[in-house]
Amino acid sequence: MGVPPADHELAQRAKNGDREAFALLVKKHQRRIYATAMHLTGQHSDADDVVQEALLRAYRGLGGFDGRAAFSTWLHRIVVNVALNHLRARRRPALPLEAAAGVGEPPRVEPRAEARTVLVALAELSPSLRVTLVLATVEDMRYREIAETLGVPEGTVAWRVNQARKLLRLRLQTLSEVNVDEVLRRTKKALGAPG
Amino acid sequence: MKCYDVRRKLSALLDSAAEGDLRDAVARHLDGCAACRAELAALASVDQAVARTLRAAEEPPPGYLDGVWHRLEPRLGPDPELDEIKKLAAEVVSHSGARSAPSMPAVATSLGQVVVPAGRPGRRRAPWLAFGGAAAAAAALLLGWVWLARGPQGERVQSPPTTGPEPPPVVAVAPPEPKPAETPAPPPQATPVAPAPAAPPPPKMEHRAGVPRHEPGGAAAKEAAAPAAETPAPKVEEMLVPPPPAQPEPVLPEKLAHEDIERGMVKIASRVQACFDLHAIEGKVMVKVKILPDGGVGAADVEGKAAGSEGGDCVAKAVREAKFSPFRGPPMTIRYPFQAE
Repeated sequence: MGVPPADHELAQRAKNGDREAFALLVKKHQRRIYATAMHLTGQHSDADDVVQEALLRAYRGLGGFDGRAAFSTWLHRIVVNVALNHLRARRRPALPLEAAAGVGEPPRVEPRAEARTVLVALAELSPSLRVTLVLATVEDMRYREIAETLGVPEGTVAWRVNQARKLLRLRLQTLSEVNVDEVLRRTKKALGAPG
Repeated sequence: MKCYDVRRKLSALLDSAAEGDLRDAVARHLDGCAACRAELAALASVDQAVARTLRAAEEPPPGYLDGVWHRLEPRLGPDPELDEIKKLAAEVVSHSGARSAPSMPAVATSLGQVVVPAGRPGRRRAPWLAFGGAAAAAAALLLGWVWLARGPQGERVQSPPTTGPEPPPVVAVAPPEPKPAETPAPPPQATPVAPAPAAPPPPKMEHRAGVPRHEPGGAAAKEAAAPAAETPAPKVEEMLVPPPPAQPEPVLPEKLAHEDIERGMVKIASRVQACFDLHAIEGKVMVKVKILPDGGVGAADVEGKAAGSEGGDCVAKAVREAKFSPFRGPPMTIRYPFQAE
């Protein structure tokens, strides 16, 4: 069998209306973009929304894909920005249990205490701080790449990462000294807030 | 450098964003400053905890990836390539003169094979009829090929109607000729028309038949179909009408199966679990859910002792965000139990 078509070739075909080519691109990159969406949102349902919305935007925006960047990079940027908008629109902390409890599966085990603590702390960060930190620490992106992806100066990226780390450090320290259930009770109030 | 300056740079150091002289200066300071080293270690442990937590959840649930495209495709809108092919197929038919199509219908037995009823006994089809038949069959082949190349994706039929001219209604019914006998008999001289070696098919059609399935390029398809459309077909009273390209029946189920409901509920199970945790709900919570044909939730109300409670409202709110597969029938109302782990 032949070599699978390269991304840029598939993207060009998709741009010309070949939906099958776009399907191939989706199937090739969906695992990666789901992981990114999950890193950024922390919840399967949110990650799923982000994946669908990002792919829809990618399809509609194929005309703007000029091939200068890799398709994966272009798609990743869309995912990040959709996730950021999603977090901003939600305007309330993510339920800080899903990631550690096992995504998308019926609840079965208590999440590890550390994971719960980390997720509570992450949920309390602003979307921009959270997303920037996750891109730097989990997605292993360089400041320059993050700056291009988010459309902000590199200095802003550095400040956000530094700020997010400091806040997280303080909160994790605090959280580790208190009962997690107490933290969850605090979160409950935020959850009840109108979305 | 002083500690204050160094600590502002620790984050950049962790991200390898501090370079050259700055990095060296920070490193020199760290060598002699235990407090800053501890600070660096604390920040690094934050990174590790975040990465460990989030990466633990990055694997999608089983089967999730199989449904990504399935759910996305209907949202993409009309398929321009498929529409174009439909138009071309319609042109092929109209150029071939489909005025009296019903008088000589074709019956599709499978993709790419059109079986023409024998018509009156003893009557031979004129060569040009075979040619016209080949043209129409080619249209059917073209559509069938596209279908095959795309795979059996049932949602295809859910695509919105095309904006271009639709092909004439395709009729694949039994011929109006009286049946020769009621006794079971072999099909009367069914003649495969395409690809019929006896018929003089246009060279382009042969070329099209050889298009690899893994290269369903729109341009190639258009190129291939165009000569057939431009071929001056004779005016005929009896003309083959291409059967539908084995389009699948609408795949939307009448109602959701148990598994479909489970699939939808699994997505919000963690949210519901969070409600159980946060509101210290014990036991079972029964939720009455109205699922709309588009897969959305029309209403979700908690029943029983949790009804009206803060925890019950939390569960109901989570369930309202569930998404299910679309279905054809009327809205479904179900009762779904959630059990605390």
